[in-house]
Amino acid sequence: MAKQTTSTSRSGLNRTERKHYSAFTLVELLVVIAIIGILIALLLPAVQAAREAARRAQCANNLKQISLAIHNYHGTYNKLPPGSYSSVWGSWQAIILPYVEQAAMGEQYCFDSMFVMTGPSKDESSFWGDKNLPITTRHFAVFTCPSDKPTFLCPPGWWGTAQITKHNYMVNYGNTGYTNASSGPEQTYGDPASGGTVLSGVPFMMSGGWEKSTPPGWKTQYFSFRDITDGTSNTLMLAESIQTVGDDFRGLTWWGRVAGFSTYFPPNTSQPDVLQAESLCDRTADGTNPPCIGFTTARPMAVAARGRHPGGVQTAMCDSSVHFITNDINLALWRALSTSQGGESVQADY
Amino acid sequence: MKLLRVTLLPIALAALATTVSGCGPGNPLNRQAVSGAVAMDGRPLESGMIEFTPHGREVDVLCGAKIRDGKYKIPTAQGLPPGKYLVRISSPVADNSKPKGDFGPTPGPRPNIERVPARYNTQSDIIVEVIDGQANHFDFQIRTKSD
Repeated sequence: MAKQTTSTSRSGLNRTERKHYSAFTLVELLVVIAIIGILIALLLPAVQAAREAARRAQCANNLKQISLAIHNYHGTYNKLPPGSYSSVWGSWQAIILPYVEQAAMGEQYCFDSMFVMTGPSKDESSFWGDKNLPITTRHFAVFTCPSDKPTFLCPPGWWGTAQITKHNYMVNYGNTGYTNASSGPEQTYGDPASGGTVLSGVPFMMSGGWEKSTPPGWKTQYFSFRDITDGTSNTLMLAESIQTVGDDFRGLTWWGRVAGFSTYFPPNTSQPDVLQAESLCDRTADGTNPPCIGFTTARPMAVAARGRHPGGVQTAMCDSSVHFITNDINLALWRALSTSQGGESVQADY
Repeated sequence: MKLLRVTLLPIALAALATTVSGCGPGNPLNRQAVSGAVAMDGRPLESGMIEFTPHGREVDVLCGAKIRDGKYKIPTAQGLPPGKYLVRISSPVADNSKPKGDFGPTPGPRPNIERVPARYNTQSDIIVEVIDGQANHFDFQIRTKSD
């Protein structure tokens, strides 16, 4: 480009004389802009990866906080919290609220009418009970993975019109299913002779089993660290769940059946989770939520650990150490890590 | 400026190509995509699940998928490493009503009815072999009546 000088300029040049300066042509400018664009394009994935790494670190911190809270609960009561009181009367998540700096909420949560089957107070202690709704409609940051999007169970439904929140962490329900509230977890899943599993101790159970003895009644099963004979470093305490969208119940960790995971399935499996009925979890079929299916005698209820981080799920062991487990983990090892009394030899470098 | 144009542009393009092509998560287990169709008594099984358990070796992986309208598909990322697998198929009787009584204040929910006979399921002896680099397409015909 050239600059035309004026007659009054100090250089005293003629009106018509042109002086050439060294300058960029249009093509050169475009090339420079293109290069800058390419460099930014190179940088963006790295920035996104760094942001995801930060979110993952925060998620790992949540797992650490929750596992320490469970340790503190154990310090107070000398036992681990139950996975949940039956399916609806409060999960570990409600039980440990006072230990994650939510004492006010924890004290407000009503456990008084647990196992009450009839009468006006029947639903009082359920997660949709009037006293509990102020808590179960809130999102708690410590139970929320920053890589996921906070969702709630889309009303209306049999629980009313409340927007009951979903969260991201589940306790270890062992290596089998937990179909039957009358007997605790399934003793086996699939055929143990050909790839199935045998229950070998769990730190958490969806408890409140219905005892058929006379008189029949509910019982709650607790475990403590002394029951974890495989060692707390070799036994899973927590893993991730995802917050599904819509009226899918997965992620609704106020509810006992999805408050724990089974290691029968590998993490982030393409296999469907198994709940009471397909209508509880797979109504969209558009692939937004992971697949799910209703349970049968051949296929008991069990929910896989699933996370939003690429390549695997984050877990906390019973000794409060936090580990990232890849989807490719040897399944036999993954299952061994969930048993508390399996007697497996576990290599430390999983 | 000429120097800039001649040297920097190819370098930038090469860097871009590297970013776009490589650096994926990789596939250390050499997983293969698996797909197929499942029919029951000649008609596509509208809903169910299929599971592949390693056969004759340690259960190091477990794969499966939901069957929708008679078809199933497992993507490579979650697929099966080459080898032999035992196949199990399960299908609850479709129930699209919203269950109400099953949420605790009962001694546990009742299971849905299993439509698939045990010989395709708990007592299955169906073995398939997943082969590296081939189209691993497995179709299954379920017959509810033994003949």
